[in-house]
Amino acid sequence: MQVDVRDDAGIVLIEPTGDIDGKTAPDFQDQVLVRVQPGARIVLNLARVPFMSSAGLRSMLLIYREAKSRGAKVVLAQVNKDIRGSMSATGFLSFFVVCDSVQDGMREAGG
Amino acid sequence: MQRIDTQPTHEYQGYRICPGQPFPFGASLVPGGVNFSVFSRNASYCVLVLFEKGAREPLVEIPFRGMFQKAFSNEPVWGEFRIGNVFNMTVLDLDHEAIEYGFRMDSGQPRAAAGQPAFHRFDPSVVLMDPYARAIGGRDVWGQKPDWQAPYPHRSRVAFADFDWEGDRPLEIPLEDLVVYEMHVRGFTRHPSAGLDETVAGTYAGLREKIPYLKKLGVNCVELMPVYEFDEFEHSRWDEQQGRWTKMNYWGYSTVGFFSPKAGYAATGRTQDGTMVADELKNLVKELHRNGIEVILDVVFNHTAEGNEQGPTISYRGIDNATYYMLTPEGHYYNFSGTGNTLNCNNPIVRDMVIDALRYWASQYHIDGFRFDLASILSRDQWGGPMANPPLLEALAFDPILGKCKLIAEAWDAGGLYQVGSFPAYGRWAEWNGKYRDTLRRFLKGDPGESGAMSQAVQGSPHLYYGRSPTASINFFTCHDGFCLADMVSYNDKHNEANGEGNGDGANDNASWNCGWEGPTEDVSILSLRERQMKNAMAMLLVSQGVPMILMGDEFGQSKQGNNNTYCHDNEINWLDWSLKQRNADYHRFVRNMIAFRHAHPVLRSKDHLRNTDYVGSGYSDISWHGTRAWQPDWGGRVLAFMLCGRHAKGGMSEDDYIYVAMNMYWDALPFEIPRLPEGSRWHVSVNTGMPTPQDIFEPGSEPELADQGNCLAGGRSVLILVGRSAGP
Repeated sequence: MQVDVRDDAGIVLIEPTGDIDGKTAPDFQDQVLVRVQPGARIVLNLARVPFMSSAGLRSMLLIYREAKSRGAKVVLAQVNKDIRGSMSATGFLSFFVVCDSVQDGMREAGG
Repeated sequence: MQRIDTQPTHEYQGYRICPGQPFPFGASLVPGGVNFSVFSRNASYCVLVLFEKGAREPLVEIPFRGMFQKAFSNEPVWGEFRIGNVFNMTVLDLDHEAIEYGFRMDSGQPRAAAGQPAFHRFDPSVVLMDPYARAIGGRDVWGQKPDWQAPYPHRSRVAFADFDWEGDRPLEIPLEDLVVYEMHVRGFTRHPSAGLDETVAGTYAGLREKIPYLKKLGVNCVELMPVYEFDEFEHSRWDEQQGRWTKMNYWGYSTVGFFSPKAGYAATGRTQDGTMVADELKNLVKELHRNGIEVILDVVFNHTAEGNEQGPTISYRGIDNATYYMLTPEGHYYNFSGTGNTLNCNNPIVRDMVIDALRYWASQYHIDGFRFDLASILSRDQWGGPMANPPLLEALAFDPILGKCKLIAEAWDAGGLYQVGSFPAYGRWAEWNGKYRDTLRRFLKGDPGESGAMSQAVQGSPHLYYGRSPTASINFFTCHDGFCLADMVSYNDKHNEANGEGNGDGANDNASWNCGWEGPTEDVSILSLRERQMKNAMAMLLVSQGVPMILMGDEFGQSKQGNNNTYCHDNEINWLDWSLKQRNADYHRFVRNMIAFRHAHPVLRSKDHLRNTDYVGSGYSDISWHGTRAWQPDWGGRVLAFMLCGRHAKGGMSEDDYIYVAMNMYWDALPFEIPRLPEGSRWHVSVNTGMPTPQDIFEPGSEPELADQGNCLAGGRSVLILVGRSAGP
């Protein structure tokens, strides 16, 4: 899975492209977890993720938990309506801070 | 450490496989792959059929016996993946989210002719759904027109079992403290007046958004009408004139799969992701629990959606017809359910399936209890005869995982077995008390001579449940089946024309009374009487010992237009109209406060039967009986009055007020002489349904003191409730 990563003023911006599902979730998770360093400030920009399956939701939760245990912070940005709906219905949304734009996400992650 | 049995032993058309585990049945994720396991006693041949999700044609069909390729070589090798009567195989490297699966089975015997009786109905041309499928596709979005020609309409999927419960456990609220709300997942929030986003209206997620309403109403248990996968299109018809589907299977009492939540009730159903659907229902349960509300599932184990000889082959009949169904000596389906077939519940295999399913829901979904539809069928033997000691009911009563679950029987069936009061209970089972319902309805409408029967009913029906507990009695005026409360006071007769069966369906004996006019009216005096009768009903229900159950919509007086059998209406007849909450605000306030009244008074919620004696030395019996004169009950009339002694609350372990209830179902006002309270205590008015709102009910703690402590007047067809407590400093 293509996962672009760049550092922007101390914030790690992670931008996956494509569906996060049973096929791609393990790879996505691995690529993100190496960036979840102690104290890291991370924005996960999901603008280019059209669909997330239950496996995707689980990888997100594992990333969130790992971040918490390492004292890092993960903020989601630009989550599309369908994924947001799924996350809300299944309760996964309540674990995350979700921002409409990357800028808001950066602010939130940095704060 | 890696398991050594996750290495492939065989290959089949590029799929790497190895012998599987027979337990658990169904499809389970195991290291490296998916384990498939299915029972059939009578099949000699079985094939695993894998599909790409939604595809019409299979991806591959892997036999459980035959020639394979040896793994990592081109050598042919014989393989058989079966232990006893269980076919089991692990397929490695499968993307479990991307596939659906089924089975083909055969016995090598001649085929049963369609429509003809037979013991075995094997047909290898049909792909069979797994009876243990934890997720089922094919009806992913409610009401979305299916492909009628689809060769495999109800498709087994693999679901991942994990969920972040955040410490949630079943609540284990004592049964006697429950106030049950019987509801339909879709109907609760489908109506536009629910005000929900279209993406969640009518779903588990929609229900979750309305939890604050339930909490404010005061119910602490929701009983969900069937949420096992069923086919809403079973028996449906497209109506050209109306431009919509009619005769939908809206209620859902026709199970397709016992382990799978109804996908069409999930907002996430559209994702076709069985795990996500499960997540959504689990999240609903978790949130209900967080708000102190238990979840009981209405489960239908008496029959399946496969119908009779003419019905479709979905799963069970193609897997092992003679095991799963009760058959006559000629091979016809016994029809104790009234729907074409009868699940063979006391066959050891089927019994295990029922237990496995319930354990699964209790452990994986944290379900607090189960209400068993037509539960008397579960007490019949394999030839239909009622048993004194039915193994399934006994096994459920003593099951370790179900040990704290509520078990509630609809203690009758469509084959004439009626067991209210005599259902094999093993100290565990409660019953929908149909006799309570009938008695209270007759008393409410003013039938003479019901006060004696009423005195039993308000005590939790000790005449039926002697040696058991009042909690054996689930008390109700109304449930999904029959008139709703507003119709019970607005119609003498059923009006089921909309069901398209010439008004021939539905019960004829409703013990209802229209208050002077059949159906809608503008007559203010009739409307006022109807509202009072609904208040009377709620008051009687909520002061009765036992477990009260309220039907969704009755809390604000929704009508179903006189239809007492609304199983097939996916429309406004059944959808909860939230605007009634405002329009009938006074009545709704009454119901809310009446529920609060019950919660405020432990003396109404005894775990053990009242003894009609004073066993704490208070000078008063735990319950005493009165008429228009104190201490002089009239067992033949339309009046019943009783007093509960607060010092006997919870068997004397709890302290409560004295409660005096006068029910006057005579048409005129009557004076009631009130029993005296101990020195220093005073009677206060809590409820008087003869008074206009807000004097009809007072919130606990704000009841005004009764002016005349010796006498009061109860209006015609009214219920008066007084609380006696010390006058204060």
